[in-house]
This record gives sequence, C-alpha cells and structure tokens, in this order.
Amino acid sequence: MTVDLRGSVAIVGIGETDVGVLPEQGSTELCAEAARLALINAGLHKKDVDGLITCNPWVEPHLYHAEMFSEYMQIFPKFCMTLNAGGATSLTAVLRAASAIMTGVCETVLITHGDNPRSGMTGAETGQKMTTTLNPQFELPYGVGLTSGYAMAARAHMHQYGTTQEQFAQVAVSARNHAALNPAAEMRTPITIDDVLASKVVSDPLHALNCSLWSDGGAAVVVVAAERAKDFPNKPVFFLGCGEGHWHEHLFQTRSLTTTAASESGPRAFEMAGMQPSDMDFANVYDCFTNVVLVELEDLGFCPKGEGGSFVENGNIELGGSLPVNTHGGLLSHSHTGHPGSMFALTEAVTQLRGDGGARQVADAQVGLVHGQGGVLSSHATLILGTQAAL
Amino acid sequence: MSSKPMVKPVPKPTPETRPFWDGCAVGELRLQHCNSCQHVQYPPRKLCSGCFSQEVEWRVASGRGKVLSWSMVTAPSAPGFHEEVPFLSVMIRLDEGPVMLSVLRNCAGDAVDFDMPVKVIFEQRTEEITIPYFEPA
Ligand SMILES: [Zn+2]
Repeated sequence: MTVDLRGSVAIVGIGETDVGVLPEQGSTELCAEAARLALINAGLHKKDVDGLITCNPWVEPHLYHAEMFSEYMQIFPKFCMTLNAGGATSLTAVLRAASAIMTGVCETVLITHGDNPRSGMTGAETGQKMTTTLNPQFELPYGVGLTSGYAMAARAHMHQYGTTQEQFAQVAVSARNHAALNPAAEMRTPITIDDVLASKVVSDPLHALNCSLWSDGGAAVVVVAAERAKDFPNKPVFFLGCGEGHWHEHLFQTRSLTTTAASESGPRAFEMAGMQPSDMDFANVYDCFTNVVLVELEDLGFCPKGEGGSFVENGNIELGGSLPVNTHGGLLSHSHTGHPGSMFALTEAVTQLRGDGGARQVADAQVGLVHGQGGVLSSHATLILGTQAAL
Repeated sequence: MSSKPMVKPVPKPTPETRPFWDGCAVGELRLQHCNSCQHVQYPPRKLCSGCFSQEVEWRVASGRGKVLSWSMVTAPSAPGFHEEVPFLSVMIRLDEGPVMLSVLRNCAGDAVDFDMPVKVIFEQRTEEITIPYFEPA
C-alpha cells in the first residue's frame, strides 16, 4: 500500500527568531523561541504537539537532541527525531512529518531548528567544527575546507559550460536586492557585480561575497493533516510534493562535479506534485555559495543543463523576473544559521504563499519550490508547496 | 588567540585502511581491486562497493592521474595550515579510475590545467604516517 502525500498535510504555523549576531541567546534558546513563535502563529498550545523533529546545532549539540529538546520544553511527543542532512534537514523533516501524520503515527508535528554559530563559537572553534564534515583520513589531512570543495565544483562548471565569475556574482547581487526589501534580513545594503569580484578571494574562483553569511537564529513550522487546516488562524500552505537525492557525503566521492542529486530530488518532487518547473511562481534554493544556485536551477529543470549562468542574468531571478529566487535574501544576505539555514527558505515560502511578503511579495504566488542541500553538494531535498487554490 | 601552534591533522588508520597507509609509508600508492567485478576503489573498504564481493585485493597503483578541478586556497579553514597558504587543492582522477582529493605541489597557480597529468609524491607527517601528495608528471 502506498499513501498519496500530495495535498495530505499543511503548514499552519511558522516562527522566525531575529537573525544575525545574537550574543545573548544560546542555540537551545533559539530553537525554543522559534518553536514558541510557531505555536502562537498556529494558535496551538504546547500540549497539542505530539510529534517533534529537531536537528543538532553546532553549538550546544546533544547526542539525542530531540529528546533533550522535548525535556527542555516539557512536551511529551509520541514521534520524536533528530535529523541530520545538513542544509537539506528542514525539508527532509517536512517529508517525515507528512509520512508520520498520514500513517497515523501522530497528528501535530513541530519542526524546529536553532543555532548560534556566529556568537557561540570562536573562529578557531568554527574552523575545527567545520572540518568534522570532512573525511578524517582522506580529506582532513590536506588542510582543505568546505569552501575549496565548492570552489572546485565552481571551476569545473566554468570549464564545462563556459559559466563566468560575473554570473556567479549576479546571484549574490540578486539576493542582496531581495534582502534590501526584507526588514528581517541581516545584510541589506545593495552590492554590485564589481563589489563581488573585488571582494577578497577565499578559495578561487570564489570571493568572500560569493559565500553565505554566518549567523545566529532559528525558525520553526507546524505541520498537520490537510483536513484540519481550515481550523487555524492563518492561511494554511499545502504540501504538494517532496523528493530527495543522496549521492555522497564527501565531494571526492561524488558522481559528478557539475551535476548534483538535485537532478533526482527535483523530478521526484515534481512527479508527486503533478507539476513542472514552469508551474512554480518562485523558488527558494540553497545558496551557501553562489555557484550552487546555478547548478540547482539547472538540475531542478528551471533551465537546460549548463545554462544556469545566463538564466540568472539581468534580474531574471529577482522580483519581476521569470523566477524570483530566495525572496527573503537567502543564506547570502538574509542569514546562514548553520543547519537551520534552509528553514528560513521554508518559512519564507509559507510567507509568500500566505501573501504576507510585503514589499517583497511575489504577485499572485500560488505555488513555490524550496530546495535544500547539505554537506558539499551532498544531500538534496526538494519541496513543493501551494495555496488551497493549487490543490 | 593563544600562540600555541596548531597541529596538522594526522589520519588514524582503521583495520580496513591500514594497508593503504602502510603503502604510503614505503612509497607505494595502493588501491583495492575487486576480483569479482574488476572495480577499483578508493577509499578502502572491506567489501567491493561495486558488487559487495569480499574478494578485494590490494595492488600497487601507477600513482598517476589527471587533474579534474582545482582551487588555490588562500584562507584555510582547517587548523595547522595557516603557514602553508596559498596551496592548490586538487581533485585527481587516477589512471586506475578512482578520484582522490589531494594537494598539488611544485606547480604555480597559473600552470595547473584541466586534464594535466600528475604523479604521486609522499610527505611524511609523523613517524607512522606519510601522506600522498601530487606534482606535475
Ligand atoms: Zn566488485
């Protein structure tokens, strides 16, 4: 027996903490604040939560994080898990929430992530923690970091498809233009392609402004069965499809430096939703580095393979373009809070589909895509959400 | 910041990787060959990741390969490498098939190119551990 998950569940509450430099708040506290705000937004009491999904933060990690967090909040779920798929975690959590609800395991799932890597760790501690994602015997001894992995993928894309550094830079410029319209974003002063190219080289061809921020913050969502969705104070946003793809953990073991498992997660999500890329009103895709956005847009089918560079030019991924991308400003300009990072792409999608985007609202947004990526182009999850009208 | 120098990471061999590190210590790059499906694999495993056969055999590799991609690292995030930058992080397709991450020595940043032939060299890190690096062939 299979369960059709299309339209089966809805997000009925979202919570976002402040983001940026928050020296007075720990990661557990941020996780709790995001959860509290999401429950208020959903009009729910903590006793209503019977499913809980968290992810382990960089700061204040716990071996059984979700157990610790339920203890901290004094909620006693019957479905409780800590997920760890890096930047894809939040979206894999939504798929597991939908699966648990539709198989009768639980009814109301709270997904909450919080972390404070910006304030909670020194630079040296951050460097040390980051290297734990590398293979301890076959990557770590060379002194390479995550950025050089993404940089080698960027260079391979330039070589294979003629992509330029200006095209990578355009992604950062567009993200900043969106952040300028979002009062919650961390970096709001517009930048130019020249600014990106003139910023310090971190690992060539990637400059500092090709890299995402490093921030404190947390965000949460509440998921329930679609049939209950009308009973909540805010406009529900429905789950239409989700797909995952997992090819490697360490980049040197990947099947390709220029094509990712987004080429599998995307089609799986579109098939479940019964939709195509051209049906999407916007896309919030993982932008830890600018080159990743180009690759994801190609692999998800928004443009032919290899044409991501020209696709992002001339404001095409900004409001008013053919596909607004990361309307909140993304990891590049809104915030990058570590594993909770893609949660803000998710809460932003809900905000857009509720029509609450204010100055950055995508006109008549009915369907949107969110894509998360963890590791170094490693884990991929694609989620398609829509309004009642899209069901 | 403390002035204590950061120590470069040293691989800790496991039972399945020890023959690889033993090879490096005597100047041999060793790879596993599957006697069932002829798959060549890296990093080492107790089973063949191609067919799950346990008939995997260690052989000395050519130590030669070609550059798949590279990046000149100017801001290392790993501890212990701040005196070594800039250095060339490289992805290498070995002639036997597997891909290795390594660092390219004895090569200027503007001299490296796609498909450039490279060969292995070895640098001793501790008494027990020697690390495979590469240089232009
Ligand atoms: Zn085999």
